[in-house]
Amino acid sequence: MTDLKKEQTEASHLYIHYPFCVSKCGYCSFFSKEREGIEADENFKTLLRELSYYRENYNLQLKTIYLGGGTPSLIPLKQLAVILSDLPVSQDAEITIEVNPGDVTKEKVMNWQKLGVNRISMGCQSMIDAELEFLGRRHRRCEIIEAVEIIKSLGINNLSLDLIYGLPNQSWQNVKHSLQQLVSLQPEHISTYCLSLEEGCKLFDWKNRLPEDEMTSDMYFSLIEYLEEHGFKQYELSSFSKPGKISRHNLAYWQQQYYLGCGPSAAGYLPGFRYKNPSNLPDWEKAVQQSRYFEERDVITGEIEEKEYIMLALRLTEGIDLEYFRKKFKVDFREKYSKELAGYVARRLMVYDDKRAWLCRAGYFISNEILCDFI
Amino acid sequence: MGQKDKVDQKHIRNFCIIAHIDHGKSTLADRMLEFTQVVTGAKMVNQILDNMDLERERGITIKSHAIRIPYSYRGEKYIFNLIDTPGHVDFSYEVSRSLSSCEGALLLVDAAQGIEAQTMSNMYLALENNLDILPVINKIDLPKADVDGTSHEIEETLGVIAEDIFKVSAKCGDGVTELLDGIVEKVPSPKGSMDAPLKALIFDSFFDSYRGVIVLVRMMDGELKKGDQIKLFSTGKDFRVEEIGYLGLTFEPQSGLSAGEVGYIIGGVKEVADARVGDTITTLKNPCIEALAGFQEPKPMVYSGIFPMDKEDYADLRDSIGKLKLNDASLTFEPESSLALGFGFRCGFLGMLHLEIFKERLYREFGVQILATTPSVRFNVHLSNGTSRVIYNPIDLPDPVVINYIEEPIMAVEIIVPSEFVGNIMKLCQERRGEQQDLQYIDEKRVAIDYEMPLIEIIFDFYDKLKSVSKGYASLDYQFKKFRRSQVVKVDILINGDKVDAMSFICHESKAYNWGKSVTEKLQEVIPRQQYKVALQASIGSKVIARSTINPARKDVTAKCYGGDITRKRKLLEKQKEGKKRMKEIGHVQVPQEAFLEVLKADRD
Repeated sequence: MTDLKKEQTEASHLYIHYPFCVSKCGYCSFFSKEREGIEADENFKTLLRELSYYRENYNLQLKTIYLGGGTPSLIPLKQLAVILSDLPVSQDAEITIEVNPGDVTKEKVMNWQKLGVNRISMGCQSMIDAELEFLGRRHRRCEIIEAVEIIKSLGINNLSLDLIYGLPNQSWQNVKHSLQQLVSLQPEHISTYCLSLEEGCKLFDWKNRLPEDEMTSDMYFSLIEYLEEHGFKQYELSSFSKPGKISRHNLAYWQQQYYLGCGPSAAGYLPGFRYKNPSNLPDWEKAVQQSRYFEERDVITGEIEEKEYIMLALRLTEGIDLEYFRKKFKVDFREKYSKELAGYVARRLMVYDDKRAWLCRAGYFISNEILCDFI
Repeated sequence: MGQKDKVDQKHIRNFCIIAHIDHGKSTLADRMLEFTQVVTGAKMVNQILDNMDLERERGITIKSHAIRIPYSYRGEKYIFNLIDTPGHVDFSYEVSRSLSSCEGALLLVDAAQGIEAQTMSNMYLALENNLDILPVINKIDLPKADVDGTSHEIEETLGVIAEDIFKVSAKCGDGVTELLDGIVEKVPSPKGSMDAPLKALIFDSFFDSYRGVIVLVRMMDGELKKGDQIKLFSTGKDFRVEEIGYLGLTFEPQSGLSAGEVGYIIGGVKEVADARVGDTITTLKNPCIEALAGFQEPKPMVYSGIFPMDKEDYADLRDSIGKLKLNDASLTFEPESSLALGFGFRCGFLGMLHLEIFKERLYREFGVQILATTPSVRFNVHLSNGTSRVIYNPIDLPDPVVINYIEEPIMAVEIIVPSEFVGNIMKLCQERRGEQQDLQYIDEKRVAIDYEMPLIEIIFDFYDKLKSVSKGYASLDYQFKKFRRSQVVKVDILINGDKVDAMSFICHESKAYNWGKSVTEKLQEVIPRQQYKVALQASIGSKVIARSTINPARKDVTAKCYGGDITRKRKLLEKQKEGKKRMKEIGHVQVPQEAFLEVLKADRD
């Protein structure tokens, strides 16, 4: 580990996980906790300790910071100020905070701005109150509109809105209704996620009542068309942006760049390995206190790196950069995977030219099935 | 090695307990061992005689067993040999051999259930073997016990008087002493001739990895000593007796056995097929002239292709089947290969339970996981050129144009059921091509119905259906009766136009459509969606009789990678890839192995 640190290249991307929520949403099976004073204080202290470890041991030149959760819009301002104050951030860094519409006030947004936040990702999920209630979201449609109004009025020009589709009994008309309203709020970025219910979430019993695959697949393709018609370009399976407003932080994931992850359950990627912090608060705190970092790690060999690259690049609409691939992995992608590629090209699920190889739109919604053959 | 327990024939009682499944046979045996102090508290393991794990779990006896029980009656020493019999129709031949090594049988009937199909069939077997039957009503302690009703049934069926019926609770021990005394009083002693040439009946044999085959015998005539050269009638093979003795809780070596006794012989026999149940043992020096009657070579009735889950395990599978064969004379196997499943074996079994047990033992004792193809039965195929052949694999069925006619095995089926369910039973049996032979009331409430029914109709969930249409009350017994001419056809299953050899089956013409349809529908459920449309068809020759379609996959995507956890996503994909690899590719379609198991569960109505 020591050797790794010394030859350290600079880390340009930082993810900070804030695990607390007011209440857990019905579809969430990830690590989050309802906030309690003492725990939150302890979490804050530990986070600072972890951050200082990275500062001391890595040459941080942060191009992006992403505050995710949980609900980072609940981070007390004083704490957030301390967290962000001492980080070496480059001039044009993208600093994103995930927010719940209900938490947005003029005062908060102004303070976030002061601390350097210049991008907001809002978990809207739907513009229909009944759907929001079903999903267990604590905000309602009108709060979304108010929040966006505040954000826009304060001059933030990089706003992303999330939408969840594929709810039980949902029709395309319902999805379209929410989409229309989200688009009318003029965000710069929209992410859409198909509802999936994993074991451990409150809505898990609804799993059998989710719409048929045909239905959600139709919704997906229709919403791509709708968003394209309204000036949003799809750049990743679930992400759409206005020109120049791609999420630089998320793009770093898809482009296989190194990043640091702080906070419980956060994942990171450093030369030679990926790591994941302990998922629960006490374990993570203990590990940080005892300076045990990167204990759960996955060694990324050249072979794995190559598989990962394919898996990640094919999520992007631009696909695999053939020249980059050849230089990096010393092999020609089209030759190595000629058989698989030919099969998918024949079935119109993939295309390639001299520069790139990418998934056709028809392949997006069954991408796992396709990716399996390349890894 | 002494003769400490040597007693005169007139103080020997050889008997068995016959009962329908679950009527408490093993519990009664346990209680008798306890009352006679063969086993005492600490050593008591429930159901001592069922020593295979599988037997205890399933509550059935698969193999025959025997145990020697000393008993004092009015100051005199007696020896009981309790011979436990298998409790399932698949093993009725073994039952009959166990019975013929006894003079008496305890016919055990559950006071809450009354007489059941196997009670009847076992009773007939006992009568055929000239046994004296002691009727015993068990479970008299149960709140639901109907002792008088059951007693009445027994009087009617067996033609005995009520006071000759023993009433016990094997669980609590009530009436067990009276029963033990009754065995002395009512079971005849053996009447073998000590001076005649040796005649001993093999009623069981099993393989022990340290000692080779252990042969259980009932001495009919003559004497046998350690060191004697013996000969087996059916095979003509000869062996030297290396060890001989009684069957207590452990093996108790003796210097010899004589007429009337029950015991074991070890003599360098390598596999049980060389010492078959029902065969007669005599000495090489002074052989008896005739073998004991009743020996049969049990013929497999049900066949299935057995393939390793993982093609790499073929050699393991071969070795494991070979080892099971050492201990299972009625198992047959020969190599088979399938386009879909690779190399495996066509195995023959006495019945479905035998097949089930075989699969479980392969897995438990050898850790081999297998795929068993749709079971089939043996068909006699008569060709137009006058020759005939036996077919036990659907893919071997010749082209219909060269077939004159086909015969299928027909079973004699007996069902006992409360009269209110007779209508349901008759409907079910008719659907299964049963022909009613007889219907008799055993008392006011219960009916015995006899059918002739094709075996192929019985092997697919007939028993479960029978139970469900009778609220669990019907009991079933069947045995082979004859081969009968029948309009059977071979149905092939095609996936995207490619025939899946391992899924072909033979069935009656009238069933082909329904069975074909339910198989294609089952496949539609279990084969995951592919990247393109998949056609599933059932056909007779080139004629498609049923079809289903699997629509192309529309959704298989990970929408979000929370907090950049790329490793998790990669591992999920790798798992998915592994899953894909384990599937069998048929007609460019990835077919999961479960599909081969699931087609067995397709409805056969």
